[in-house]
Amino acid sequence: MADRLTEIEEVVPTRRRGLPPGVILAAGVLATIVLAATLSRWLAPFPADQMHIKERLTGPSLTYWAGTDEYGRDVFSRTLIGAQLSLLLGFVATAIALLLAVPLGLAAGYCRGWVDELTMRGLDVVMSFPSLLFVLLILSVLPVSPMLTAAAIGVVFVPHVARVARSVTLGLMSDDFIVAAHARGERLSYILFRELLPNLWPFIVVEGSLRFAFAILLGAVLSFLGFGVQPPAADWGLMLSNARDFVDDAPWMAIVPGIAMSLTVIAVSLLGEGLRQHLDPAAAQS
Amino acid sequence: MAALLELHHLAVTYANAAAPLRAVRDVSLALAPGRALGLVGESGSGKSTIAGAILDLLGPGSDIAGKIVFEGDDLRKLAAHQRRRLLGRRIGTVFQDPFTALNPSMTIGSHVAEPLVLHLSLSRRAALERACELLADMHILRPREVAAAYPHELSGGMRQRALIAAAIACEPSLLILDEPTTALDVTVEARILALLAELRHRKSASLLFISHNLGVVRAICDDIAVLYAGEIVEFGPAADLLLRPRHPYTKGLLASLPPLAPGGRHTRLPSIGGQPPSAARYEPGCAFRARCPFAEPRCEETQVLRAFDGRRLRCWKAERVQDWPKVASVVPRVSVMAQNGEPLLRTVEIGRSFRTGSGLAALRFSRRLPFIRYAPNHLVAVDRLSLSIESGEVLGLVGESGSGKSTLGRLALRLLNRSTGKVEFDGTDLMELAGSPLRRFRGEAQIIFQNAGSSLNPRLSVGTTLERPVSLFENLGPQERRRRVLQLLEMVRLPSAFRERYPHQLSGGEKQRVAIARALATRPRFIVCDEPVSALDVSVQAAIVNLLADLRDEFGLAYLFISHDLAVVAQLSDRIAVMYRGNLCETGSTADVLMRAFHPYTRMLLASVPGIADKSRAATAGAPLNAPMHDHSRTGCVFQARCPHKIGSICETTRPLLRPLSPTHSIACHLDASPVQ
Amino acid sequence: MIYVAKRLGYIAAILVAMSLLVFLVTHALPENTAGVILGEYATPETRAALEHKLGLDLPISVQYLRWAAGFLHGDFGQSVILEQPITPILWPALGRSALIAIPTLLLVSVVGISIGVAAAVQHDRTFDRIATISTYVAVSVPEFFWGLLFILVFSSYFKWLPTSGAASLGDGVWPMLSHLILPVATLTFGLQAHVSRMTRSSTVEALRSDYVRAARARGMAERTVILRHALRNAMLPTITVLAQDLGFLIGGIVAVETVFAYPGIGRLLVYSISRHDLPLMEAVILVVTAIYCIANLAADLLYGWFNPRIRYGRSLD
Repeated sequence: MADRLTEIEEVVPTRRRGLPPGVILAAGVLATIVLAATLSRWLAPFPADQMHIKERLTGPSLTYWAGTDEYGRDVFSRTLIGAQLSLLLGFVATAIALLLAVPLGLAAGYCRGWVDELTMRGLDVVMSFPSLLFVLLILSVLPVSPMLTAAAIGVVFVPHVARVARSVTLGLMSDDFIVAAHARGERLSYILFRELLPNLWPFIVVEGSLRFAFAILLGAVLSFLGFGVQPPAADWGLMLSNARDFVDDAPWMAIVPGIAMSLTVIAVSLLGEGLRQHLDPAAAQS
Repeated sequence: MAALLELHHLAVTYANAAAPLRAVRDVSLALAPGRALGLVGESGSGKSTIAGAILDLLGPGSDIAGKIVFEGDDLRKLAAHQRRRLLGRRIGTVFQDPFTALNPSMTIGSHVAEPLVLHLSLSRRAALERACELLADMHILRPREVAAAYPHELSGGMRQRALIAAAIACEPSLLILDEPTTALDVTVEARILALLAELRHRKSASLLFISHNLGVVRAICDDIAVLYAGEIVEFGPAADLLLRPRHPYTKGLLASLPPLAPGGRHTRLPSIGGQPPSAARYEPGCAFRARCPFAEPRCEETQVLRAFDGRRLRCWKAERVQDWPKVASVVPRVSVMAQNGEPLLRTVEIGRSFRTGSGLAALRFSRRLPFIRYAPNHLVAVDRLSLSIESGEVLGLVGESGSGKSTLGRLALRLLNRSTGKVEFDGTDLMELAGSPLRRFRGEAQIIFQNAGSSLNPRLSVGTTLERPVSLFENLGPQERRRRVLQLLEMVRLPSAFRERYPHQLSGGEKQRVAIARALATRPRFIVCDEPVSALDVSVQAAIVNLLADLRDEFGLAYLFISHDLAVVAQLSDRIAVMYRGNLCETGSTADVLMRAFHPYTRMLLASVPGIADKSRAATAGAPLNAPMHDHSRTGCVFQARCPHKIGSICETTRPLLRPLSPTHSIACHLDASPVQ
Repeated sequence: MIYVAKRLGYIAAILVAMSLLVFLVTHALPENTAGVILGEYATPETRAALEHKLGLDLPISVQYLRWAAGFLHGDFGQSVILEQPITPILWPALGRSALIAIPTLLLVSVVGISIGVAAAVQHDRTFDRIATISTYVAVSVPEFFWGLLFILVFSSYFKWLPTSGAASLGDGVWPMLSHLILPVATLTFGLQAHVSRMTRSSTVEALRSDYVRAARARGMAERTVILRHALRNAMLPTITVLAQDLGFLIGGIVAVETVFAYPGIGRLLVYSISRHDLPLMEAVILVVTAIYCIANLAADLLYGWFNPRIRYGRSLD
């Protein structure tokens, strides 16, 4: 029955329920990956660019846990070290997206009127490009650099995050405690930072985690296509791009980094979804 | 005569992670054919769950015990498809919310025709024909147009009528109605009730009418069962039960209902203290004893339903129980008269219109040169309205949805900017205030809202919420601030431990008290109360109204008390103003408006309120059932399309101005001042 | 009607804004087309001469207008690297990509909606859980990895399907289809997840609604309830998500064409960017984005058609 829970007015002064086990598992996996990435330089058995030409294209063995690539470099080490770059890229992109988009969305939702219209129309123009194309457009005119790539990805994500921020803000604006703040004559900065933002940030965290997953994927596609990170750096996308030519002879070159990337993204997505369910159980029932 | 519907010791328990919720504990009743039974209770009593159990709509998380016998069959023993065949065919249902109970993608005609096709195997065309006939039976003008329309194109009253038509389409023997009029305006409600009464007599169907509103139940039902904490506590004939209640809960409920009569400053409503017990933790014995003024140690024993004097009661001492204790009269401390003769708040031809549809939607094609113009639609929410409030006075503002009363409340506090006219507080135009005079005004004029849940920031504790206005408006050290917060909590009768609590840990009534405390924190002289009790249970309502009255007397506060509920307004207000679609219809002292109402709309409102004592009121609701509900006229009187006393063309062309009938009583109408029948 | 006209006008404005953006971004470069063409021979004099010949020394606004005008006539300019007019290269590439895109869209809709509805009906039971988990996996793995895996399995191991290139109808139906199967399968696999997820959640929400409860109370069998009542309303958000998926589809096509060395418009784009062939790049981006915009417009109109609130906005009495 749609509203049976409202029928029973329960006043139970308990805290919210704990997180479901799947989410905790995802968080654990992600934490492991992040830790491994941070300590990769010490954990990796071989340096990323050390070539062992005599043992090129060999399969997984005790020395080379995931085999070697066409230059004899250890695939496992390169995967581990590549994690660092991918995660960093994802983090920077997400941070830039959030820093730009949240104030925009807040402003649009709070001020309404022409500020809202202008912001939304401007964001609409950016959103009318497919994400990949827009990033490629930006990258085509910039010098090659991983940080700039991350920045470009961040900029492309701004409309999506801003939309979420705006719609949550709009929802909050119709709540009476904002009107009550006006009735006290509160300053704009107080209303934004002490009333709106604390109610906004759970949604931002959820959206941010989903964007993080997207950023890793987009970064990988870019380096796969030959933009963004350049060889001989160890990067998952680059490794997969190389592996394409050797897929018959050395499938492990593709499989290992591919699985690493997939696992990371799955873990982040699950975490994001789990957080969303935890923070907004009614809406997340679906 | 065999009963149509019987419930034998029905019990429904919801599985829940923490503890099972026993929504219905022990309900037994019988409904004879052709009778109407009212099931009355507040939130948490289990009344909607009973309907859900009969209709098998409760879903997998529920555990049902007991027997449900309909026309001789135990419903729970029937196979699923047999039971389904009864639904819609022999049992019709009307739910509470007409706005969501209709599929937005299906026309009204399809809705009404659906049960006909399903159960009576009519062809689609025949079913649609019959659907139009049914809609006409519901006194809907132009039934074919309505049948072809989608739900979003109709008003709430029309939608509910369509739903009733769908429910009775197959001529069921039992009609279950779950709060069918709660979401509707009182004038619309009166018409729907009249319609239901008519249907009952024409079709001789039995009714199971579920509601929290005793007056509504009185208008329709023969018998009433009162539910409390999942059990029936009293059962008996409707008129008798409401006139002479026997169970303490019923007595308390009836005592706390505000009568439709001027309250005066001295009286307070009796109320039921405390809250209903939690459905997860019932204690043995009478569930009501924690709140009962007549409780004794013997009440800790399990109570059974027993017969007495034509009733069934779940109270061992019902025969000996006296009336619900009245509340002593109060001597007000502060005089009503203004200090300097100047009203505290005054609006002068205040007006506010809204643009509906902005941005892209407002672009329109035109024949002249730019070929595009920006012309958004305008909705006039408040139309050149003038009223005044003296210091220490309570002005009640009454109106239905769309009347603009909330907008007026916000205009009075400069929470919305006016489109025309001006608002003066203490003689100064609000728009001229800036800087520290504006801040001072903000402290002196506050607001409390209808939805207490959304008026408190869910992330702040009660203490933080209350401390903020204190630190904004007063220069106190942290110790003194804390002391002031505790003082505020005491003013609204909340324990000091509540300082640490968060809004989701409070009940509706408690949240509203915190909101009132917050409004008091700035030491205001004037508070706009925007439907503050409408979302609360009746028993809690009375306590909040009393609190507001006490605070008014203690601090000499003036209120603009906005509500759609005339009885509540009458209890608290010195004067009443009636609004309709942005215009003032009538204003006067409470006695003037209630007993000597002149404006046709006020009279319609008064006649529509379903009374406890007087059954005949609901049937005569002023305008005939099939009068159109909305008017789109821009000139003339806003009310003329619904007015039963419309004079003629003057009502269409000239807007009536407010003119005095007596020093305290004014109306805006073209009718002659001589008494109207 | 007015709704349609307004949307059209809006899209036209967006297209103009977009073309401006693309043009300005590419022409903001210090190293411009002339420098690329001349390569090592670029000296200030030769560059100035070439610029004048190509009309690159005219004010930006004039250049833009000439370019835009050319576009509207179907003339997309001249590729500097390939030294050919762009138009005859672009349309065939677009056509070949469409051979992948259109079947993918159809498959994504059918598969996604079916799985979504089935999962919603089997809410919280085994099928639902499996579907949800596979959705996560499908969405989280990038298309090019799926592509590589498919190549590994179907081309290298089983040797059923070719790993790269394309064939036209002239070479026979099966050869043409065989080159399409893997790219289409790769894209469908990832994209249907979005659709099935949204369909599932909107169907679940519809099944929880008051009007479905009222329909059940009228004695409707569950299957009728789902098909007649729930689906009608659940489909609306699905249209929206399909429109979003178009964006992902375009990105996916670029990646998939690279993996499978398929000569479509995605590969053309990558080629033009890596070689700094600005006119080609501008043309491809603009054409693809214009198609995306128009497709979104179509989805918008479709949504408006199916949603009675938009289609019949007025209210009675």
